[in-house]
Amino acid sequence: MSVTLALLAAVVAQAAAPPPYQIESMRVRFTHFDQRGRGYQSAAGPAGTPGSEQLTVEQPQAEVVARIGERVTERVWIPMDVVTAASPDHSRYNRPITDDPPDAISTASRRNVAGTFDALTTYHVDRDTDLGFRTAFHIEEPFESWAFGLGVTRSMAEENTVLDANVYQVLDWFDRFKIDGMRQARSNRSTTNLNLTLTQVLSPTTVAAVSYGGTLQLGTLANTWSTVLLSDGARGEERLPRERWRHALAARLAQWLPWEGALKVSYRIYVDDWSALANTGEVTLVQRLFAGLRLRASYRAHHQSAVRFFTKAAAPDGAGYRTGDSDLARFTAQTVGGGLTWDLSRAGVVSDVHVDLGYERYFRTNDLTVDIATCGFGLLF
Amino acid sequence: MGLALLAAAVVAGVVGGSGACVVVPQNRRKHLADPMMRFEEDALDAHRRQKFYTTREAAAGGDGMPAGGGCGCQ
Repeated sequence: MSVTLALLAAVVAQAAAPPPYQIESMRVRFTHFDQRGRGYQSAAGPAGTPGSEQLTVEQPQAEVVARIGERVTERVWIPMDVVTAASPDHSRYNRPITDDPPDAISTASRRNVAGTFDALTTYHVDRDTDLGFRTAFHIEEPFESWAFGLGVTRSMAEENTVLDANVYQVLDWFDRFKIDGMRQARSNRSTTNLNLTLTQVLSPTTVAAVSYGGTLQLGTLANTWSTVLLSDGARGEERLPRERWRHALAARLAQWLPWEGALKVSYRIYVDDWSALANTGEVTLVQRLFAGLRLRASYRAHHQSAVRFFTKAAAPDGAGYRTGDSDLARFTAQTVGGGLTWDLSRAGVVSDVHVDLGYERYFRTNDLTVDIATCGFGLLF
Repeated sequence: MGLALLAAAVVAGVVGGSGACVVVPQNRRKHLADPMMRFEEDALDAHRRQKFYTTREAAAGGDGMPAGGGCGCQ
């Protein structure tokens, strides 16, 4: 009898124990980027003129979030990029050092595949405090990267105030090339990033957040194959400083609208010690059409100054820093977009099925246009 | 450095000022809990947006998300 009771107690205890591992959500997303334009850093074009920046990117992503016991949440995320002409499709493995030049320098037509494994473990210390630990590995043919970070999130005033602080360290190792495609050696860089975010409920229909992000980059900051157009029509190598301090301050606000909508606005100012100054504003309007179907429209404007050593025609015998990279030039960029989101609640064992479709067009004043199509699918258990 | 000090001042001001904000009880926050009100509705969508802009513009960070590695040209 006592044995039976002991067994029964054990079974009851087992049944009452929390599940050791429970999937909370699974998401996948696919995005297609189609870019066209010309930039002075690209040699893919007639001599003496900006080269092509044409490329396409296919970007699949997958994410699984699981709860482990009472205190731990694990997020595993795998983003990939299949890019044409973005990086040299030039493996160093089993090839002599004087092999063919990198693809981005020669034909700019092949594909480069980049993948990342990213894991974030969140430990719920108590009702108001979470600790996060993150590590990530990234690999593409001439480039490897390792990132790790720590973060803390603290809720206060009955969760009306949330303070988030995190720090990340990224280490990159990659092949260094001459602009004629000759591979020289391995090189590296370090990126240290600090983020502080304060989110505050302002009313039953308004929430706001302010964020600061500081970043220090050290090492070889050029990709090493970008070129600079010289005043005699030839091309020379890009030369960048080995240190860069970057600061950004952002403010965001979300306002509930009485006709089942939401308005979100944001503003960001950015400055760095290469003399780049940027202002970015964005507004998004979301409208619930019926049940879980929502319509989204957004507009974003960005203006930045050029870094102090940007040039379109460098002196052939000039010393010092120089770049012709169109991303480091002065320009104004705009993004217009829209999308549909559909949340189907309580479909069997799944508490929510999420589907969304979106399209954006990015265009800017120094000859770059990108069309972006994205679709996402998620299951919340 | 000036901007860093400005950021610290703003954060300190908001933290200090938040104590004076009205505390909205949980039972009055149903609109705030709506997915529409999230600054980023989907983490994967937020990633593709962040990566797109940080690889094409001289502006990274400030949104509470980690800035990636990558070259100075972004």
